[in-house]
Amino acid sequence: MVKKRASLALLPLTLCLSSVPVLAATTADLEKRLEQQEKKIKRLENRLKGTRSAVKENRSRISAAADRLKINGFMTAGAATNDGDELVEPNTGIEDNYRANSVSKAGVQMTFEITEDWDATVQLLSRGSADYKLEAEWAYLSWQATNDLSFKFGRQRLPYYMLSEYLDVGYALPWVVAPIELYNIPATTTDGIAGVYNFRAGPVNFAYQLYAGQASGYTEQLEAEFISSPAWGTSLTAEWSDLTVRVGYNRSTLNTNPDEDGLADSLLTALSRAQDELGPDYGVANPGNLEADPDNIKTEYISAGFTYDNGSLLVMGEIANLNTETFQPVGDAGYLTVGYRFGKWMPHVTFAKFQTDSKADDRIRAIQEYADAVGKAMYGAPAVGGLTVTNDTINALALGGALAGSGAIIPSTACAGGGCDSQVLTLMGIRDSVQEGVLAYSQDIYNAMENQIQEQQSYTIGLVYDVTPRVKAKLQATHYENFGSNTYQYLNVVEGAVPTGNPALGSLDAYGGFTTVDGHSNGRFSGDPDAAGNHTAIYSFSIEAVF
Amino acid sequence: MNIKSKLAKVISATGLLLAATLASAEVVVIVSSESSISNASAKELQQLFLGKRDYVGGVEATPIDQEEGNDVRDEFYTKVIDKSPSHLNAYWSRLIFTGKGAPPKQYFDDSEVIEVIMGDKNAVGYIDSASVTEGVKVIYTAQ
Repeated sequence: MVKKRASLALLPLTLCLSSVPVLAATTADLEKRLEQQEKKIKRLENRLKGTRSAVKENRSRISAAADRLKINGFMTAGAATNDGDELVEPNTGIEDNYRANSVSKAGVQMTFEITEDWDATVQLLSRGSADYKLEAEWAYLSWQATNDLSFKFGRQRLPYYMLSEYLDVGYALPWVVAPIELYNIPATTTDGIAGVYNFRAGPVNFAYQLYAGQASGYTEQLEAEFISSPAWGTSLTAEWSDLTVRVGYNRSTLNTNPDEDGLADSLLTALSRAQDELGPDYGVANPGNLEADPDNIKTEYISAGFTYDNGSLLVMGEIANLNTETFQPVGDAGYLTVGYRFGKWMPHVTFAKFQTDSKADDRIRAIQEYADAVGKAMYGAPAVGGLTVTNDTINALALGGALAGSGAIIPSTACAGGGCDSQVLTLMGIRDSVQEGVLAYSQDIYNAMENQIQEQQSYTIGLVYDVTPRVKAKLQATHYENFGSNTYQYLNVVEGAVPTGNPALGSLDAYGGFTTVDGHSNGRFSGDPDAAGNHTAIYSFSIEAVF
Repeated sequence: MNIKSKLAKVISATGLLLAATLASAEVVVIVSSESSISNASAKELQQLFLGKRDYVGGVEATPIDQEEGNDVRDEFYTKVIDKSPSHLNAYWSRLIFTGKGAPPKQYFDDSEVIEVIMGDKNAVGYIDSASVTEGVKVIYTAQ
């Protein structure tokens, strides 16, 4: 090794020595050589120029192709927890221990310029709350018809509210969890056509949007699949310097397919039970207005919102009204957010509120009162006589089994005139079954209605830090309260005993837009509703990036 | 150390300082010298570079951006457009991911911007004032 190095070190010396004859050359020789060298240099320069322009050409060709394809993406990595032991936020699945998949998500978007006026765009989103299943949130062809008018054909986000179209782009929003009082719509996309027309008036830029299509999804809150067809809506956005104001109206016709024994299913069952003729049997009038069809449900979303952002101060707010012809938690929601940027830090606060429509509440209370009255009438029915049970009742209560089990057959004479005598039923040993059945019936109606009345308000404090111009870190704490004081009934009948007094009425401090942990078969009350309390908090943090 | 060498040191330090000052010279907005745009207001430039309008002073215009990380870009957006880099990214992400707009095309540096501007009389770009050459004209100087 050492030897080799030594010989290498000698190399320059050898080279020097070998060039010694040059020194001996004549001046003429030297000039000739210089000329040759200069020519060589010129040639090399020309070659370099050629290479340079070829590289340039290549680069512009590559960039021309690259220019036609744009790839962008966004990502949220974070976690959230809820300190209410018995409560779950149904849309994100935020529960009582820190879970990353409730807020984490990643999206990638590709836009390819087909011609100058036509683009194809696909945005794929993978949400932790949907088991990271990849879904196309946007997949459309867009056509720039004129400078100010454009159309999109295909899948697009539903523009229900001000932030709906980019609700998953966490980087563009101050929160880790956007106000659930408003942003809890189970459908996010529509397949159809949309047009945007831009126009100006003085310093104000306007954008008018109109869409029509079909949407589908699954609602955790009602436990039902649904298809909105048609779904259409329109919005007007006005932008003036740092202020943006938006008003929107959306309308859709829902066809639902409720899960068996799910919330929507028990609601519909309860309503159809309330509609049967059981009430009048006990002297309680049907409240009417009980029509409930799982199909052709007209829904309307109306909203107005604004954003003011001058680079330091951020103020944004929105109010919305959801209205349907049939039952579901409908009402008014809103929020107001104020934030201020101190360099790379932005602390912010939000107040949000949701409450069901009082008109809808009245209708629901009327049905509950009816159910309660039927239960009480049944309860208070004297042991002997006065209890009239029609064959309809027996059918409605599905007591066929009880009758078959008792081996009793209602003699046609005993139930003549459309009613069976209580004494006869007692003799037959099925009086208790009937009584229990009617009670259960009244409770089912009462309880299924209860979650249709909701109320909730929340206070959020949050902090956003700009890690780099494309990465943000966020922290957030939201306190939810004022869930109202709902009540529920429960059955307290000892097998075989004849119940007396009133059916037990339990209190439930409700849960706003939350659901109970143990699922909600049997209405929402299979968990321990009393343990739920009337407030909870969600703590969340995340890192958001956009690229 | 003699006076001469001291003086030489002072002079070279002054030179360095001067060079540094020149390097962070002001941002200017330029168009091709053939463009009919003669000047622009900050408001017009904001509208143009944020994709809200595609003209300046009634003349059709295409904004030419520089790559992220270039000092002149940060200076242009904070001083002229009045948006910090992260604020700007949040703004564009709202438009990009809703299919409502795309940011202006980015070029490598001042000389590439000048090249584009000289070849397109609708192009409006920004460069360091020290890079201004023949064939372009300044329509706005950042305060």
